[in-house]
Amino acid sequence: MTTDKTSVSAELSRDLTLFHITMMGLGMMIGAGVFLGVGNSIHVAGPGGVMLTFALNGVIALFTAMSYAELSSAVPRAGGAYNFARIGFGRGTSFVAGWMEWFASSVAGSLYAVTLGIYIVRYLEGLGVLEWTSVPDYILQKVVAVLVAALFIYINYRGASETGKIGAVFTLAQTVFLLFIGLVGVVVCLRDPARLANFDPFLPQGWSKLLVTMGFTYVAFEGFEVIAQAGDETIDPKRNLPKAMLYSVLIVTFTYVGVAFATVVAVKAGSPGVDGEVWRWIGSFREKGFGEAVARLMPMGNLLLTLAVIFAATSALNATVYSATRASYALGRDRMLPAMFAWISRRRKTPWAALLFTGVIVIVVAVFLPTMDVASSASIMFLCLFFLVNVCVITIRRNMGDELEYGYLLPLFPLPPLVAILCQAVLAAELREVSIVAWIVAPAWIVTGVLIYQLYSRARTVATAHEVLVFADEKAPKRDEYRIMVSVANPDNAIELVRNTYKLCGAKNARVELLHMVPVPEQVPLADAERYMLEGKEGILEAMLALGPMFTVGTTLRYCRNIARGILSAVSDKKIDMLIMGWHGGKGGRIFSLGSTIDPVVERAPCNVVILKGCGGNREFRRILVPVAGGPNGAFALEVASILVDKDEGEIVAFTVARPGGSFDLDGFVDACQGRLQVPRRRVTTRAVEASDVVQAILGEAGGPEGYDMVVLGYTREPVLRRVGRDSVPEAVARVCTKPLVMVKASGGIRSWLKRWI
Amino acid sequence: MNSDSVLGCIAVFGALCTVAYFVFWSRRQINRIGRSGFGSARKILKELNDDR
Repeated sequence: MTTDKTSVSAELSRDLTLFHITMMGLGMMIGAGVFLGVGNSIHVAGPGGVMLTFALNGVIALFTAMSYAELSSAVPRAGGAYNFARIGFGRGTSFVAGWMEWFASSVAGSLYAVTLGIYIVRYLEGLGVLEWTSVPDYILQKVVAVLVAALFIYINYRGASETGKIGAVFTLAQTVFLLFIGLVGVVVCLRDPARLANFDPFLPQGWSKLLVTMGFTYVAFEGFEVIAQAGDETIDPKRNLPKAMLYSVLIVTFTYVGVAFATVVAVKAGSPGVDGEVWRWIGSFREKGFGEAVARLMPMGNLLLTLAVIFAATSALNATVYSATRASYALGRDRMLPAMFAWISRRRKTPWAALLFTGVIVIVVAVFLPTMDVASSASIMFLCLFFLVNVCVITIRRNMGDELEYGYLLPLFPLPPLVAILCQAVLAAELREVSIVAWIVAPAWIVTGVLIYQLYSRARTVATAHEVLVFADEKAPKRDEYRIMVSVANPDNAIELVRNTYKLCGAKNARVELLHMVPVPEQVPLADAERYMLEGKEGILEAMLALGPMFTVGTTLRYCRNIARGILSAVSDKKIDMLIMGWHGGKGGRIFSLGSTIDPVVERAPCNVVILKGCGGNREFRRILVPVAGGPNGAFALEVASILVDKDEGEIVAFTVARPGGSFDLDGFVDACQGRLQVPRRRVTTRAVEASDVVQAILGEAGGPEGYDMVVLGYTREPVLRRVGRDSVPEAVARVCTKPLVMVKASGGIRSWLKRWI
Repeated sequence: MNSDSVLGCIAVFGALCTVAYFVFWSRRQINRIGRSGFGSARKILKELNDDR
């Protein structure tokens, strides 16, 4: 990308790592299929059948994952199957792919809502909370499912579905919990080997029933699509997308097999309430069988299981709602569906019409179809979608293998996609035994889609950037000059930030980049953000355009999901040495001291950070107070103060508050820093006072008769676990101080390992 | 143990091994392509064959 003095360049922020996208895939997979599927599979195929179901499904899913991995490595853009079908076959097939993807994700969302309904009602019944009502269970479950679905549609409308790193941590926790269940099953078996007799007979209904159970549990392996959708936001996508798809299949396959094993051995034959063979007893509960069995496996099993289901189904429901919304939005954007599907809310910046129609499908399917029909419909739609992707991988390698740049090639080509196609066709066909309704609903949806394309979309389709196949990734700049980045949040402080930056820039002989981050809701692909997200940004764009030629700076808009992560990603991509940000001085709340953007940036930025508060106006700073207590941030604060202070007659006062018994040598510290300062030593005076309240001492000095024009502070923070509800000294001073204030942090020295990890 | 149990256990174990083998084989291949530079399918296959 090039910078232009008279225009603002735009770029996408890539800030999702391999861990994040793997967790996104797992979050969508571990939703309902395993919770509802285990009990039903035991009922249909027996105790051995349930393990075979998940193990063999893992192999078929792996073959499809390898197809997705190859295609995503060659075309690492958002769009998934819709994009692959457009490249492989053209617009007609891509419409059908998008149309199927919309319905498949919506129906999967219904399944997750129904799962939440079933498990929440089951738990409340266990507590005796529902004894007062005579309403049948299934009605209560549907009511809860509708409420949950409506809530998530609203949350997505609000644009508050930023799953990010916290979402990844929740997904990791639920995966670990399920693996733990599997481990407990093994331990229980080792202590009581007689429980292995629960597997006898291994396949009481015969091998053929496996095809049925594999069909309706296949929905538990659909997570590649959401990973492919993250192509625009992933760091090093040609490597990380395929790895994430393959890792997620590996993890869920082992997890599901472990959970299936634990479910069968969880119940001791002949224990109270268990009549006859154990597998029949578990299977008799159908979709609740998993819960009934695992609740007997460990203390508080019921509560833990309900919490796990709530977390898993919640994250999966959220992921499917925005995945379905993106699919229908893309169809509207390309005019394959009416333009209203691409309408964006002016206030929330989310595609409200696409969300509304998605919500209608989710709720209607959840209300009117029985659970097994919902699961089967979702499975059939995903099987059809994956069938298409497997055909695409063969076609694209044959027709365009010499033009695309691959990061991964699936082995034994074309055997794995052919095996997957065959298996998926058989599984889809066998689902007629479980749900004839699904076999009516799914083909009806596809036929309707074909008719809509032929009668409506074909004549209206517009070309989009998604038809461009290969995008060159921006190359990182060489590290040949000192680079300063100014993160501009609003037009009011842009000039102030740049003016102060120029003092720093002159001292460092540096190049300046102006950056404005534009947050984009997850329901809108980052690549489309330029169309809609600049509304209301006129002021900042004008300020950046005006500043460009005035100060000879590069100006960039960067679209991101999360502003803090976007800034950190820009700092890394552009190899920035110093980041400058403005701070309005508001309250940050309990978790964040300076705000949800500044806190993570300051803690994790791999460069020097300077935060300016109230430094506007064309003023000179003749007398600057620099409270120090040693350390790299204190030295950097002195250096920044020496740059900002009036060059002719300015004075810096290095100030320290000695606690009783303390022994900090302030003069020695200033002498040691002298080599970095831009003013002679005689213009740096030192002053030490003794006080027990450091904050009050600094504030008293800053507001005292000495007449300081500015305060420059080195940034420090307490470790996160010690910090809840209280500020560090610099934060407390910064919050209250009424003077112009600069807070600085030297690169390195991240203290909070927990926050960094999160 | 009857024949179904034996065959079933072998099938479960075989399926898990297949998944693990292909995932780790693919991981190695992705890293190798990443080191030698992305390219067309023909170029990558040629390099992989040359390596053998």
